[in-house]
Amino acid sequence: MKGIIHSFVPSPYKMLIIGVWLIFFPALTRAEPPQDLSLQKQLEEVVARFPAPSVTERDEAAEEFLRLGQRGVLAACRMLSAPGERDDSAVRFALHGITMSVNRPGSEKYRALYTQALLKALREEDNPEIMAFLISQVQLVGKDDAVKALAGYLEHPRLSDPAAQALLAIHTARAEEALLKALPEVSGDRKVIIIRALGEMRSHKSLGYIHPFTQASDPELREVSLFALANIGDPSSEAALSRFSILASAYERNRASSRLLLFARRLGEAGYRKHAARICQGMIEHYTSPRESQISCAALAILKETLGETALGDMLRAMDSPLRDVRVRALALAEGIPGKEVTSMWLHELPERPEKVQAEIIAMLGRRGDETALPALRDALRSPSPLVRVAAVKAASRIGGVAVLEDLWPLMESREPEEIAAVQQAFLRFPSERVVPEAIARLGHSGPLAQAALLELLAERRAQDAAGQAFDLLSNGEAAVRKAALTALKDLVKSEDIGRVIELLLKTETRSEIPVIQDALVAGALQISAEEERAASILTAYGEIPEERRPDLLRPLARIGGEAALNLVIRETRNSNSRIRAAAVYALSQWPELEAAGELIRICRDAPDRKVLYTALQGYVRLVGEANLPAAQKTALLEEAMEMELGTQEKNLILGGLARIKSSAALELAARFLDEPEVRDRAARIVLRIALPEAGVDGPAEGEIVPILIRARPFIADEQEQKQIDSRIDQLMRREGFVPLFNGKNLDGWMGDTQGYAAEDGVIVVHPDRGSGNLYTEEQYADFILRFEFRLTPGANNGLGIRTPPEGDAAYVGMELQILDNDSPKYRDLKPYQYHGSIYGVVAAKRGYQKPVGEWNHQEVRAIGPRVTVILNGEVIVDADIREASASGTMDGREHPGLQRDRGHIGFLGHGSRVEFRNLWIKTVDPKG
Amino acid sequence: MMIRERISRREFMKCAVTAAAAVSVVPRAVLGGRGYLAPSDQLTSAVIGVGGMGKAHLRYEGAHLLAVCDVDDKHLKIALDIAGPGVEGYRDFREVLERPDIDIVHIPTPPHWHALISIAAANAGKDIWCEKPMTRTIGEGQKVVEAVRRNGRIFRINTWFRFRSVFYGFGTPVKPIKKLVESGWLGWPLTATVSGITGFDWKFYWSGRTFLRPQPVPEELDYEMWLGPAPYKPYHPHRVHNTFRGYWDYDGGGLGDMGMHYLDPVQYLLEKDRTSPVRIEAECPQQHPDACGSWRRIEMTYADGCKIILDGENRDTQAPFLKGPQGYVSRGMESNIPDLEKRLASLPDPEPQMTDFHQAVRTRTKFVLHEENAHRSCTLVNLAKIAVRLGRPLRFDPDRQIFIGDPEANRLIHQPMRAPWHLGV
Repeated sequence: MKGIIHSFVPSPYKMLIIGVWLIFFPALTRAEPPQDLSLQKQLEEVVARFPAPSVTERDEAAEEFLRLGQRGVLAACRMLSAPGERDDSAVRFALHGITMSVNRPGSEKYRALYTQALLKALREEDNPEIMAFLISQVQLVGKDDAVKALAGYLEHPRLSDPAAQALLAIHTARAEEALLKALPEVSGDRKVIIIRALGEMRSHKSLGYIHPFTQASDPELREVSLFALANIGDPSSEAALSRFSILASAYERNRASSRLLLFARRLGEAGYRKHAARICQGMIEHYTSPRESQISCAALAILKETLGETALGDMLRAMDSPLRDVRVRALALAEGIPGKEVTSMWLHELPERPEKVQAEIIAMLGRRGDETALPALRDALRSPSPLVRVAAVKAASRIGGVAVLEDLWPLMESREPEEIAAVQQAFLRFPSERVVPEAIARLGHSGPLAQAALLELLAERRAQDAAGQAFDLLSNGEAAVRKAALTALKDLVKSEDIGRVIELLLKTETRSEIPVIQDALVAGALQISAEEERAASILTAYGEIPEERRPDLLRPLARIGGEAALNLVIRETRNSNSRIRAAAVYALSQWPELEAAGELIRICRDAPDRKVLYTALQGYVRLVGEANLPAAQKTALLEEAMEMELGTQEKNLILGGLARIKSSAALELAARFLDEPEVRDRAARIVLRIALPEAGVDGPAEGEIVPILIRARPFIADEQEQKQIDSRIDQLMRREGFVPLFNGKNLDGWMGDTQGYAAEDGVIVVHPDRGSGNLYTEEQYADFILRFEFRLTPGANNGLGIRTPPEGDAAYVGMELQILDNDSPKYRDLKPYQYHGSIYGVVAAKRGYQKPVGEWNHQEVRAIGPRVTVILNGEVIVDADIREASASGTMDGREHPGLQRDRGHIGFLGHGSRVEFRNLWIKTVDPKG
Repeated sequence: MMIRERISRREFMKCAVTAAAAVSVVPRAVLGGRGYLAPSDQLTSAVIGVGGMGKAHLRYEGAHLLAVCDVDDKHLKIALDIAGPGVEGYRDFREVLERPDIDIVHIPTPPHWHALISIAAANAGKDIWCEKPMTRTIGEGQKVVEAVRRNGRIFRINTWFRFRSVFYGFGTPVKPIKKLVESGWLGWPLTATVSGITGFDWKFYWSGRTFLRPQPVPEELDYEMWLGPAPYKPYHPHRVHNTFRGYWDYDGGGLGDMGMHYLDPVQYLLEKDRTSPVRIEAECPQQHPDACGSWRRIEMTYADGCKIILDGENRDTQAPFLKGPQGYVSRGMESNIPDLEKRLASLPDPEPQMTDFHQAVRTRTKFVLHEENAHRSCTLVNLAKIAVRLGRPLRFDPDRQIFIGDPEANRLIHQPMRAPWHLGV
């Protein structure tokens, strides 16, 4: 106990020590102390377990962490860094993992230990942002045991608010007391923070302290104090809360009334019901402006909350209000007051009221659901007021259900569209057998508005028995009825109606009717069970109709399908009439069966114009995509399309098709578009999509993905996708056995000229002004595959040393693979063995595969036994056996003893130019395997 | 409610065009109060938060736009250009609420502001069109429900699949699925699976970054006001505008972004508009304190045994969308029930809904997606978020809306706001 108390009190002596430490060893404060190496090592190990892949593992790791005791947590907290200083996400994951683990019920022991450790770390810390992070964790785990420490920050300019929030979260009597105690002591802004918190805690004890600030000159302090008084809800505060300036703006008046209402609510909750009711009733009386209707609404609500069912009188009185909001609000509140007597009170009100209010009351009675209201609601169906009738339709059908069906039919003959809509809506709530026969019976002799509504109803219910009447109504002269009948046809027709529908289609002179009739035609045809007969009557009719109407029959065929229909459509794609041809191509492009694909690709090849090409190709790509074929076959089909001459839009179509096939072949095909500037950005995104793993899909072979992703990488502009592509490359490289040679952050693992070379944002940069020596790996490598990217400046020269000792001229004591802007005029007189990629002086490289200066190049170097292979941007530029190459003397005629070495360092060999390297990966290989 | 020294008071961004504006709108209120006008009367609106989603709200039809507001001057300028003459720009939403001639406020701000502005708007007598997710915490949602209901305001949340549009992979709106559920042919209780398999994308790319190097706040942005009630964190562009979704302080990743679109119809289908799950379990990697990450599976169970499963890794490749003891329905309306479409046609419609927001405002009728059912569906999102962050099974009391036997978990239901902001009034 003593120990704990001690740890709460910051000793001035200790502070002094820390102060001195700061002065003399400022650089060490974050990383200290190295005295306990084993702890540090254990800590690193356990931090590395976060973020845990599952919650179980998180909890296990947290427990292991806490076994290191308080000092473990403290040491971890010391690893936190100020925002942006360095990436400390690992330790933030770790600490937050512990937070969420120990705030479980049943982890009290660990929770207490961890909380104390956090608080101790908080005392040791001096960076306010780190402190705020620590407090945010305390906010999730702290209990009374954190109150005193948190209270110490209530005066702090940055941490006062986080501390107050944490105390609010803890929400105990002790937290309240800490806030109370701090209130008189803190200054200015911080008073606002504390009063806010006390107000939210509804601290009665704080009333006396807060009261004076309701008159403060600082408006923020004044407002927050008034809020606190309202929320605490002590009767003594009424005077302070009722007072507001006559000069106040509308907004301030509004806020004052909101506060007073809150106050009334709190009074009611505390049992001061009469007091609360008096305030509310006063406000209803006072605020009558239409712009302040919400105040009366809220006052009514609080009356209901406070007085319960006895508030009914207030609700009835509210019916006198000229404000609709207020009446509707009162009725909504009254809806919850049950009882037959109450029902009859409302019914008694009805005749007294204007029709608008009657309608509102009726609507409420409907929602309220008391059956004893039904006879009166039925009467209301015959009210002279359409407004009342509409409300009654809804209310009566809601309560009475099918029992009121007979009362509703006559209302269908109304002249009010709203009334008809209400009845239609009521009918839609009834089962078909109750409404459909009667609707059919009435259809012929109803008014036009009712006919349209009934047709909609019958269509919704797929009442095929009504089809005949729907056809008849098409010619009754009313445009609205014809429209409704046409729309209904697709849901009403039977297969035997197809003839009539075709006739209709051929007769109509209105373009907008054609698609609606085509829908009906398709619906009718699809009802024929024998698939091959579905299009039969259309095909028969087709030969008999004039040419100009043929496109109208061709288009719907795509939705019907079948061999005979397909043959007709194919034939018509060769028709001399261009309209027919276009309709046929379109129909074919929409064809549901793969059989159309062959014909579509033929049309693509012979396409007279871009529109035909695009339409046909779109259909082809779609059919291939939907087909139930193995991925290899699908890609082969798409490759066939790629062999044609295509524009940008068509290439995009094919890319879209490839994106849906996640296979090696699709990846390779998509990658071909990476060389075409106008589509390469999209191609890059598609490549990424194919390369990303997807649950349940095998995807392309992993070994093939990385080189393509590396090619696609420069064309990905979106930051999120760049991240995806990088992490996919990272993952696959590691799986292939590669390890990164460069950590992206610093030159750990490298030696030599670490001044001239620098790690900057994932890139190794040569700074010739700081030195341009050689940079070597600390490790030595014998047989390996090295992959990296480099970027040159104009005329740049560098070299890649392999199997070299870390001193001397690598070109001779080891091997140097030239890195050079060999297109620069500067190097006009280059010898072939000096070209980029050459094994300097020994083997010449093929020239012409470098990207333009300023772009990133990708290079792979394989050094396996005597064989050295260099692949630049996907092209093998060197592939040689060094023993054979030097057997009869080297190309430069010089001695190259380094060729005999079987291992050595890898290095960058500076020649005074700025060059950049990144994404360095290496895999060591067994030369025999 | 919120009080903050109103530095920008009266500092309206007057744009030159307002003076010459020819449009004159007589606000409804002046003509004799709400509900007093013919249905043809003109409603007026303001949009608070005009970056990202806010720009879409500028184009919503049905009301006459009078004001736009943003804490980023660049957004404000673009919005004023789009909105055209007669629209004024504001930096402080409280000045917008002060205008008596505005009937409706749209709130497409980031979610951490939704509750504060909704409550202030309700208290100021405005009707509200709020972007999803409704609120950042369950506690904030409760307060919005109270304020909207008590003040008699009309509220809509900006998702719509329960009443219109094709419902993701289904090729049909929700209505026939609702009819199917009401028919009882699937049996009861139902299990809904929301995953890539059933037609939904959880958009894990809305994740945050775990390491941000602080940057200077751009001149056009009032970052203090952008943060508002959220804890102070040093500025980085990834925290704000469009990418804020990836941080717990403001939203909840793809779950926060798409959750209400996907889950609100599920709640409607399962008849759970007035309740919430009682058990929530998440399977996920541990989460970062600041940045939202991915999760694998979240299971929420209601008291009657109905279940909602969010399958983040499409593990259950055979899962239908809805499954009951007697039947199922999957994307594309595939079902074990023969001739489903035709049989559904003969069934009664679900209860009619008010689907025209402006008509709801005029007639003072609840909009179909009002504060209460929207709060319940947003609670699904918030429960899922909490389960992912805490990583332990939770038991929830749907009436009191707190966790049972887990007081520390409740700290994520009611998260304090940065002073002086609070939801008190």
